[in-house]
Amino acid sequence: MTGRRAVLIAAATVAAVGCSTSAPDATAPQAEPKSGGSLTFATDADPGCLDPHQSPTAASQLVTRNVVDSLVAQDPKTLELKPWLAESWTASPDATSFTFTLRTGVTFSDGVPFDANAVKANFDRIVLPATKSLLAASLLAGYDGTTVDDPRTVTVKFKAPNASFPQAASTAFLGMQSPKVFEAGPEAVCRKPVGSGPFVAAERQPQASITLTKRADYNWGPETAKHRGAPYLDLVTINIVPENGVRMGSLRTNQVDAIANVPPKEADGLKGAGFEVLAKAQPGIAYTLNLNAAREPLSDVKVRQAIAKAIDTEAVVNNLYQGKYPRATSVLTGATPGYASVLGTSQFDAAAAERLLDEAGWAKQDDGTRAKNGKPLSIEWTFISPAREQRDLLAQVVQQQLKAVGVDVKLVPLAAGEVIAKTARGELQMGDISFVRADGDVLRTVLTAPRGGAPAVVAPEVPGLLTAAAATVDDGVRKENYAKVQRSLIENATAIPVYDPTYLLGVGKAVHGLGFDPQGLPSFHEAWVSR
Amino acid sequence: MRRAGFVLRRLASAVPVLVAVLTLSFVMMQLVPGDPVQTMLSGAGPAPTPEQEQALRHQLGLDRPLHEQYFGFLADAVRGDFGRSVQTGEPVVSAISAVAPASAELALFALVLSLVFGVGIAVLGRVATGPLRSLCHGVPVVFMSTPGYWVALVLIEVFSFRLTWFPATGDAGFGALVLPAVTLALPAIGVIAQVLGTSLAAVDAEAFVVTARAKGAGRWRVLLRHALRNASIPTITLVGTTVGNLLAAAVIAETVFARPGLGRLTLQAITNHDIPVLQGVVALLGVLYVVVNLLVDLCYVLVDPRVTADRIRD
Repeated sequence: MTGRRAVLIAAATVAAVGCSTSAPDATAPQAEPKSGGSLTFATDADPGCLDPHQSPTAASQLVTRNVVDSLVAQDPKTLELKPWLAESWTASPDATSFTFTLRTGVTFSDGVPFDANAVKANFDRIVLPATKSLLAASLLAGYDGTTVDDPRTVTVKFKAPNASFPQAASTAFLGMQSPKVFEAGPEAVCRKPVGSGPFVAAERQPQASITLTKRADYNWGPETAKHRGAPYLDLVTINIVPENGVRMGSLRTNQVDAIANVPPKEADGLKGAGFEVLAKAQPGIAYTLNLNAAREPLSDVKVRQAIAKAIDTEAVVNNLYQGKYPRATSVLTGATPGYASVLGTSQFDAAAAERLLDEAGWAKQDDGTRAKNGKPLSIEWTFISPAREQRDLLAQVVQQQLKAVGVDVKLVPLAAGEVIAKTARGELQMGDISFVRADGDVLRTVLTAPRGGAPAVVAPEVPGLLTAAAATVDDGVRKENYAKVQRSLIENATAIPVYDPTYLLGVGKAVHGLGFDPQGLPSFHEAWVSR
Repeated sequence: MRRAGFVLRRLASAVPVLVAVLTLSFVMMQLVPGDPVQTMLSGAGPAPTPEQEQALRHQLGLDRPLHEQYFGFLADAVRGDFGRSVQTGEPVVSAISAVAPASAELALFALVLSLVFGVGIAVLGRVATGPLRSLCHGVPVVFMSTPGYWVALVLIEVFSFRLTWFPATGDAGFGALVLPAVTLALPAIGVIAQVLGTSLAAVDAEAFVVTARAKGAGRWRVLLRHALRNASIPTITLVGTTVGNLLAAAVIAETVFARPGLGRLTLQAITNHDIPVLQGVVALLGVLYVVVNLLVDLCYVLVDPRVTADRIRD
């Protein structure tokens, strides 16, 4: 570990010195975008399955967002919904039926035209059990079918209100793929999705790289984009480079043009060397620790509150993430529609935590631990391994903070599938989760169907509030209900928000126009290179 | 003729070894905590229904009695069918064959480097004098004891980020092969140099070496013609195990240098509890070990005329 750190520090110093002589290009006035050329991007995680209808991962969306278009576009800044493959849409007053008027002249990259039948084929396919959808199907919960009104008009129906459906339809998860590829079965789509997007998934080398080529006849970019025609870049190569230090060094030595997930502690050094570090706070569920109120000893609200007060989230974000990831102030991140600031100031108060534990009858022993009726105060924290964003280190920091007030935490790292299965069975005592989606309805996604590490028990009024929010197109009511849910989670201390996940993108000097989609992922459509 | 019979007998004796390997990997699947069905269904929106679970269990044949599952597994394995990856749904054989060439390329190049430099350092350690001789005796220990992860990062830092001689990552072309192969080869060079060096020193005192010298053979001739051949038996054994180690150590090299390969496939399969992929990899490694051992035995016959095919069999 020390050896590795030494090398990384050395790398940082050398790069800073080496580059200080050349004037950084980034300050030059924005030139006219130039067509042609290629961009090499290094990402940290293997995307695995490239079918957005199946895969729930951000790593996969990094690729698929550039390959599939959606009916609706969400503005990355205002989060407003704008036309994309649908020119317009209307919702029924009870939010159970949505009619889309489709754009004409759009084709998938295999030549199949995009029309009402294609929309129906996509939604019907997502909910089929054979598709094995891990996320998209839950965005279509209560799906009651799609009717083709005419070649450019479709109506999507739900059994229960689903007011956030147009936003869901703007994600790549519900993106439109050529119905022809579905015939080859889900595994084939995993390897090669076919959409109508600005890029075509051309070649894939397992564990190594994915190549995207330009769709030259693309001219149906979303209304939210400055540039709606064919992408400037001819070629985008996405290399999978898991090692942080190697990814950083490759960017510094111009072996790659841009990199995913700059480690927060490296961001300033990279900027100092003349590179750009773009930060995008991700909308959705903040990185949150969850306490299962159905399991001893966490069934006592005082114990849960004590744990919430014993964790110094301010110290965690400052020491572990150099403040590059903001401290979370609610279960929703600040970038999410429906966000309400619940924890304007940190609730950290170790003395209060000790008092609460005393009141709850957990007496402090001579060795600093606590016990009640001879039973030690000990909880099990199950988290996903391998962990991203140093969450394994974070768990150790929190473990120490809780030890200071006499709570013993056992860390149990498990594979993602195991954590999810354990959550579903209600066996989790303490878990953690974050979840990207640019809509307050993400609370319903996470709280009503148990997801890996999500709170298993919520206050009785919460499901009603979420259902009511989903049933109305009145933004005021939705905002109010989401605020109530966020406050309830903190008051009951079933959820302890820690930080707002933030995507740090390292960008080389020759790259311009690399942007983020509303989910906080880099998008290559408007990017260009000057060299 | 006798040699052909020898090879055939060795191949026949490999069958029980492979069956044992396959049996072990089947037992492994039974012992690993976690239920493959739940892993496959987990995360699929709402919690899976018992009917869904039952259907998948039946589809995978997991509802059959254990002995039926075992013989079914063996029969499939013999046909080269290890089922499909739990994670990607891809057939295991195609998942493995997609990355195997990259692994083979890396392991072979690393093996060549280990042999050339391992033997070179050992021979030089006998011939050279002064500081060079001490260097040749000291270097193997250093090579053997430096952790691969650290070596990989240092090599990237120096040869890719500063000198920009080789690309840091990827598997495009020969240049990308050099740094990971050196990372893999270093410990093997150390072991080979040390073992061969020790054997050479021991052989040096043998009567036939003294005789050869007395007959006026030069230093190089004695070393290469007489000593090296006699000292090489332990090293040949060692090279056999080295091939296995190269595949095992590849995990680190592949991860740091972002190369595709069996090591990363295995690591991924372990973290995702992807048992079918693991079984496929284990079986492949089993076959490889058998083949390498066979080659090692053949080398004995070639190097040492006293070792006949018949005597090896005993």
